[in-house]
This record gives sequence, structure tokens and C-alpha cells, in this order.
Amino acid sequence: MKNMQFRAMNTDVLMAAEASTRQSGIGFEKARQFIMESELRFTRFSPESELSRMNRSGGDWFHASPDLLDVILLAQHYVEQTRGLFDPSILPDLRRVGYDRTMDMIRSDGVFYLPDAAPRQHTPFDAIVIRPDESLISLPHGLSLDLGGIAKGWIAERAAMLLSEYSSACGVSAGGDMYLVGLPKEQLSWPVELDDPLHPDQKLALMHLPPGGVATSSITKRAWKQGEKMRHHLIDPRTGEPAVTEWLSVTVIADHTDLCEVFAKALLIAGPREAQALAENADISFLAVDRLGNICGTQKSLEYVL
Amino acid sequence: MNNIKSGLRIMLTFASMIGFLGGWATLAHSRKPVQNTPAGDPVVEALPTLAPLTPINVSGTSSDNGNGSLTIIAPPVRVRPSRSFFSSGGS
Repeated sequence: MKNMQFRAMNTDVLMAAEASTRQSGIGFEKARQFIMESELRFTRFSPESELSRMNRSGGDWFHASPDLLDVILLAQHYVEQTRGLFDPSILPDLRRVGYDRTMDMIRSDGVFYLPDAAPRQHTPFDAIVIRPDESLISLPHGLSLDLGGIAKGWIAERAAMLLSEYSSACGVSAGGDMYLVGLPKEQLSWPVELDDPLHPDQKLALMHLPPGGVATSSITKRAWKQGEKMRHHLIDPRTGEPAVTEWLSVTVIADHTDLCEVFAKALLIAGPREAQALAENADISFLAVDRLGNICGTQKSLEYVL
Repeated sequence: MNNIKSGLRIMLTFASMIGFLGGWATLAHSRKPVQNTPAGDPVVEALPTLAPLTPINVSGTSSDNGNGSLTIIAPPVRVRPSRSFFSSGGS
């Protein structure tokens, strides 16, 4: 199995492929180029990205590229499916709690703004008007989107599909959101380690996963201090504040990485009482890690770690 | 004897000529073959339509299918000794 690592989307990207050196080299480079181009399209940290231009188009029709339109339509579907627990329109809330630059910059320079006492101004995602046939999107004034998570899953899956054209089995992971194609030689599953959310350098379990998607959302990795308040990047769309969760991380295993990424967030926010119903409704498996390091999940998902 | 021979020749000549002219007249007044089909109602049979040919797939997916024109940038390959290359824990 050949592999390649590089930094993109403010995270570590890992690619692995079962192929000759020449073929894997071509596949890695094609997948890497796609990831770098997609990052430029979907990042909210560059004013020149397509997403940033759309976010500035409030009140006007914005002509979206096929990729952006695809992700926006997916987001629209998932907002409904998660009953609003996933909502990319929380970008103003993210900025308000201090996440206005890349996490690498926040880690090195700290947060500039203290907590804002002003009441929350939030326009929900369903206020967006989309004309898919014409590739037109209209955002109301005041609404802006953060597609970071869903786009990362979407990009990882498409990059893996590109890589699969040059290999019999491969996987692409963007910060733990990954898509796996085929199976490694003489193996019945992909071995994937489950990180300990309290001790990032330690592993909690070895998962044995089928081809498809997997993604984890955690409140411990992208966390910072704003004034005296501890903050993390997982915003509860109902309050506009970092979610108060009983679990530290949720890992979702499903057919598509964007689905995994969205539901990992939604289930983490939903917590133990609502998560199972949400997961059954979407026909997904998940593993949750609580504050003691216990792993819990559906019966099917527990089989992945036995 | 010579008179008999000459008479026979003349008879054969006349018989041949009469036969020839009779046959001509018969054929000249007989119906021509095309007259068997009623005029103005030609039967046109459509030519059979050929099924379109299946295009030949020249794109291929093998390793030597034209990718040779690409510039290959050798990636920095790092191999982890662990059995599991991937891990998931959020970013």
C-alpha cells in the first residue's frame, strides 16, 4: 500500500492506494490537485473563494459552479434530515465566538474578540432560494454559510474516487473524515484507529470498516479560549453558542463521507437521548465517546470495534 | 438430279424465311414482360435499415492508455509501521 501525506484545508490529508508506484503517483497527484482546487473554492478564510463571493452576494442571484451547487443542495437535504441540528448558516455565530481565522492562526495568535453581548442575529438556512436548473442561489442579507465540514467530506470522497481510477483499493482521509474504496489485499475490512478525544496521541479502539465513508466530530480538537470562556467549533444552531454536549466525539460510518460528517455533528449536538432516533431514521451507524472514554453506539456500529 | 437439289434448296430457303418472319411477327405482337405490372403503381420495397455500429471504445483504462503525457510529481511517501494507516478523531 503506497501512501502520501500533505496539509490542506487546515488539516492533515492522508491518501493510501494499492497500485504500482507509477499508477499511485499519478492517482495521488490527481487527487491532491482536486483537493487543493476544491479548498480554494470552499474556504471561508479567503475573500476570493467562491464561497466568500457567494456570502457577499446577499440579496442578489449568485451563479454557482456545479461543485458549489452540489454541496449547497446536499446541505439543504441534510438540514431537513437532521431537523436543523446541522445548519451551515451559523457562520456569523462562529465569528462571534472567535473563530474568524484559520484554526492554525488562532492556535498561534489567540482570539482577538471578546464575547459579544449583543443579541444574536440569525437567518436560518431555509431562507435561501435555489434555482438548481439555472445554477442560481440567492442568500438573504445577513445570511452567510460555513461549508467547512460538509465540503471536507465531499472533497475527501471525490478525491478517493479519482484515486480509485489508478488503484484496486484506496482511501483518502481529510482530518479523519475519510472515504474508502475497495478492500486492501487479503483483508475483509479497513483497519482504522479511533482517536481518544481527551488524548489525541492515543487510540481508543481499532475499527474494522467496510468500504464507504467515516467521519468524526469532536469538541476537543478545535477549541480555544475567548476571554474567560472556553469555546469550540461545534455551534448548536438552536442557540448560536458552542454546543453543550454529553459526548466528546461521535464517529459515523455510512455510505458517503459528507453524510458521515453532517451526522457526526448532528448526533454530537443531539446527545444520548435523541441520537439513536436520528441515526435510525438516516440508517447510519455511530460510535460516541463520553467524558470517561467509554465508547457507545448502535449494535451494528459496536461490531466494527469488536 | 440437279433440278431436284435446286428445288430443295429453294424450299428450305423459303421455309427458313417464312419461319423467321413468322417468329418475328409473333414476338412483335406479344405482350412485353413489363406490361404485367399495372402502370403508375410501382412497388417499391424499402431497403433494410442497418443497425448503427457499436462505437469502438478507444479510451481504455489500462495503465498505458495515454497517461504517459502527464507530468508525474513523485509524492513524499511516508510509511507508518502501524497496521492501521488511517485514524479518525475529528480535526
